[in-house]
This record gives sequence, structure tokens and C-alpha cells, in this order.
Amino acid sequence: MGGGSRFQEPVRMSRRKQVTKKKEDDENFKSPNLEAERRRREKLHCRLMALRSHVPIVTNMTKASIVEDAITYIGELQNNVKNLLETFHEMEEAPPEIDEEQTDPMIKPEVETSDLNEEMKKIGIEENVQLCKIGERKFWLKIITEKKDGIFTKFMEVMRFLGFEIIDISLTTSNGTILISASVQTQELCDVEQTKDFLLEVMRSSP
Amino acid sequence: MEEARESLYEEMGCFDPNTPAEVTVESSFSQAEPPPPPPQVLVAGSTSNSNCSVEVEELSEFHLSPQDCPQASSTPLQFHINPPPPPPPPCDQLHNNLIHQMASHQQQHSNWDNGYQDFVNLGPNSATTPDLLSLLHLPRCSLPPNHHPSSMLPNSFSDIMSSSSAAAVMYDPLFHLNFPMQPRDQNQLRNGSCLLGVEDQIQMDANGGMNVLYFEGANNNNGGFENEILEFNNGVTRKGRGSRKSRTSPTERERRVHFNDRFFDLKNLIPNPTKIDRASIVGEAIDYIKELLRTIEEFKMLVEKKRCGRFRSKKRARVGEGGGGEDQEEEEDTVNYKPQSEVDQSCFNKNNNNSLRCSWLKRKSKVTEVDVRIIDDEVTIKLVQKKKINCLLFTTKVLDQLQLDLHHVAGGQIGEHYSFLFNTKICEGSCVYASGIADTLMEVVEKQYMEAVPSNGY
Repeated sequence: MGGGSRFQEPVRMSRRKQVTKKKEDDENFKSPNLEAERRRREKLHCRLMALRSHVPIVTNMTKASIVEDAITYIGELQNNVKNLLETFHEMEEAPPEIDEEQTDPMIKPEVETSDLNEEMKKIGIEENVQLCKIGERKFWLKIITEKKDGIFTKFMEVMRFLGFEIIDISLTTSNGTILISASVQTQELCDVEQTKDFLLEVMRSSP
Repeated sequence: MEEARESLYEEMGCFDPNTPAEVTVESSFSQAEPPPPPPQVLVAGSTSNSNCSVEVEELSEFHLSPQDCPQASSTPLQFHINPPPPPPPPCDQLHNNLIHQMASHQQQHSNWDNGYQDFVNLGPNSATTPDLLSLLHLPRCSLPPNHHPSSMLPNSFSDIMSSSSAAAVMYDPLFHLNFPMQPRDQNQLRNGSCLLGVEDQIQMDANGGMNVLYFEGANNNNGGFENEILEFNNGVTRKGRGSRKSRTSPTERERRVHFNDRFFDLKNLIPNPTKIDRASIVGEAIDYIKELLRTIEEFKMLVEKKRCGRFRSKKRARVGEGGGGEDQEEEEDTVNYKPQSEVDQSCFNKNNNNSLRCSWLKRKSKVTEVDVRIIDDEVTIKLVQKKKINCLLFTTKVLDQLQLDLHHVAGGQIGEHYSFLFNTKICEGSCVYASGIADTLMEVVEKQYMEAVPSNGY
């Protein structure tokens, strides 16, 4: 009967004397969903044990102290994080001399992109925009363009401008080129050719 | 006849032969009040009927043995005296009918519906009882008219049930529950719940004791907070059980309240708790602790890297002063420059070992979920938001701001949500960290969502 309450047995025994008097009150004091209640208690119990296993502070072995210790520990960890963050930010504002040194790596990305552009032309990837009507107001869109900083943001802005709602989208990059394929929906009617040209122009333009 | 009656009584205890388990439920309803008023013995009718009297005695035996019911003996008499207004003959008939009913209980199961309907249509006070009684799976109380030539049971029984002049005062397992009923209705109720009691008594003893202990133990060992739940159930499912509170001392109650407050405090520490029940709070606390530990690790690594980077650049500067623009990074040249502290040394080692930075965390809100995972310099961001605004646009802006280089994006509308996955790379020299990314993104996206006009954000 008390299968799920094995942790409670010791206490139960000691309280037996006090219980007998009121035995008759509670003799059939059964919750209508006894099993559910038991399961609920068991679940909470298990989780409390797991919590205790994660918390290095153990003052008492009571359930209340598990929670209290956890609160203390979380507070400690949060303090740690805060301190580390501060240290990190302080290091951010490092002395300027070192910053100059550290700009070297920053130069590299720019160099890389210009290299990539060359590569793109070498491989022969060409900029391309395709717009294909698949429904009343639905389109498939495919764009191949040079990968530049903020290119995707630009693309999203254009979508918003045109009133295109993105149903799904996939973007991949390779060799400094970016491929966007999306299925879009629009509220207004639009002319396919015009839109295509417009898109191509926008994507080509520098930010 | 005796054997038949005994078997009858056994079967009485569990009306529905198919579900003996429900007897325990029934018995739980049988007794509740702290000083249990003696279950009133089922005495239908008068002692003039020999059948009745015999059964009365047998019943009283059953009742008295498990319990101290000093008043039990008086009740039979009481019952006899009790029903002056209702005429006795129907009682006799009723009792007889009931006995016959018991005798043929197997076929009762399918035929109870009519009686049940009548029962349900009892007076206003019966609103509460049918629910409980239906839980008890009381036998519906009508047999087809053809079933027993000797008994007018079905019709008579249902008649009695629906009539307001029902006289028979029978054992009422629900008596203790103190339903606020008219005596008449109570009689009707007892009619419907007749003959439940005997087996129940025995069952009660068998199970009740255990249950009591169980609950007691539960109450004490769980810091008393289970008491609350039990009391709540009490209040909802059973009326008139308020005496349970007096058993918990004020200190016990204080402890419980204190304990509950703790859960509340714990919940407040967690960044975005979704549910407020205790088990969920504890579960989320565990996850949060793990997340905090990961974040600390990440920061430690970042700080170390920063320090090493600074150290390396210092070193480069020094060497640069000395020599040409040689790239000293790959050379572990300790000849010109010795690490001065152990920390720096460990920096060296760490960087040489290419320790991977990794961290992972989640931020959740009612409409948004952000999941950020960092391995070395690659950041994978997952964003799910309820469809309302163009969150993709805002996300890309944030990613640009954080100097995250997009490598791959995939996602779209799924049902009512937008779901996107971003594979990005951290630009060199940028020092973003997981919680920074997650918090920034979450903030922006949430804000835009909240500010958006209810209509389509496009």
C-alpha cells in the first residue's frame, strides 16, 4: 500500500501512537485519485533529490533545506557570473596600445572578402535572381549574389518593402557567394519581371 | 436461507461484481467525521417481518464488531420508531424487494438505468449526492418487470425512490458526510444507497488503517506541505471535514507557509519560469543551475583567452620592437620573453591544446524561445516565435550588430509560429558570449512583438 512512500516509513512508524486515536477519523481518508497523488509526490521527491545532487551546499537533510540551499547556491552562482562579466568587460576596455595590435586580425576579414570576390568570379558563379509564380499570390524566389556584410539584412528589408511575406526560407553560403531560396507570399499583385529586375539591382548595389 | 443471505451480504458489499476495486472507493466515502456517528443500521420496515428482523441483527453484528458504536444498538429501535409519517407497509415491501434484488444481483447491472434516472431526478438536495453515488457505482435499481414474478421490485423501488414518502431508513454510508438534506430526501438517498455498508466496514478496516498511516507519514515527513493538498481535496470533495485543520498545530502551519515561500523565492530566481507548480519549479531550478555553471565555464575560458590574447599581443609588441614584423605567434619563443606568472603559462598551454569553448543556454518566454549554442567560434541560434511580426528581419539586424557572420539560415512558418535556425560564426576579435547573444536577441524580438500592432506586422 505504501509502496511509493518508502522514504516516509521511518517517520510513519514513530507517529503510530499518535495516529491510533485519530485512526477512526482517517480510516478511509483516501483521495479519490490516490495513485495520481502518490505519483505527484514521488515526482516532486525525485526532483528534489536531483536538485540536492546538483547543489554542493548541504546544511540539513530536510526538504525545506534542500530548497533553501538551492536558493543560496543559485545566488552564489549568479554573483560569480556577474563578477566574471565585469572582469570581462574591463578587459574589453583594454589599454589602447593593445587595441591597435588587435586590429590586425580585424583587417583580415576585409582582405578575405575581396579574395572571395575574386574566387566567385573565378568559379564562374554569376549573380542571379529568379522569381517564379506558384500560386495566386505565391512565389518561389531564388537569389545568388555576392556575399557582403549585411546582405541578408538588405534582403529582408527589400522583402518588407515589396510586401513579401516569407513562408519559408533557406540561405547557404559558399565561396563568398550566398544563395537564398525562399517561398514568399504577397498581398498585392506584382509583376514578375519588374520585381525580378528590381531585386537584382538592389542586391547588386553596395550598401 | 442463511447461507444465501450470507452470500447475499457478501455481494452486498460490492454491488457490481465486475469492479470489486470500487468497493474501496465506496468505503472511503463511508466514514469521515472524526467521531463517527454509528452507521445507521439498515432496518427497513418493522420487526413484524421476520425476514427483516433477522437481517437487522446480522447487520448490526457486522457493524458493531469493527467499531465501537455504542449507539448502534439503539438505532434499530430508533429506526422502528422513526418513520411515523411514512406508512410501514411500503417499507416491508421495500425491504423484501431489496432482498429479492440482492438475490438476483447479477442481472441488476444492466437494468439499473431506469432507477438511476429516477434517482437523479430527486429533489434539489440530491444534486450533490448523485455525483458521489455514481462514483460509488451504485446499482441502478430497477429490474425489468418480467424479471422477477415475485417481486414488484423495479417499479416499487423506483416509485419509492421518486416518492417523497419513502420510509425505510437504511444504512447510509454517506451519512457522515452531513449533506444538508431534508430528512425525507435523506431517506431517499438511503434507499438508493442501501445495503452498501456491511462489507465496507470490513474493507475500511483493512485499508483505512494503512491509509491513515500513509497520510500521517506523508504529512509529517514532507514538511507538512502535503497537508495542504489533502486539506484542499478535503474541502472540495467532502463536506464537513473541516476538523482536519485543528490537528495541525500552528507551528506546523507556519512551517508549511515558510516552506511554500521558499518555493516562491526559488521561482523568482529563475529567469523565465513557465509553470508555477512545485515540481516544475524544482525542475527549472536544476536546469538553471546547470546553465549557470556552463556560463561560468564559458566566461572563465573567455577571460583566459582574452588574457592570453593580450599577453600574446604584448609579446608581439615587444618582439616587434626588437625585430621585424615577424609573426611570433606560432613560435613558442620563450627565449626573449618568459612568462611571468603561472596564469600566463597556463594560457599558453591552453591555447596550444586548442581547448574548445562551448556553452549553451536557453531563454524562454510566453511567445518566444531562443536557444544559443556555442562551440568554439560557431554559434547556432534557434529562434521560435509566435507568428505576428517579421522577427527574421529583426534577428538579422541583431546578428549584424553582434558581428556574427551568417553561414546558413533555414526556417519558416510552422503552424502558428515562426521557427528559424541560424548557423553563424563569430568574427575574430569579437568577444560575444552566449548569454549576451541570447539576451540581446530575446530582448529585441520580444520588444518588437509586444509593440507590434495586433494586425499583421507586415
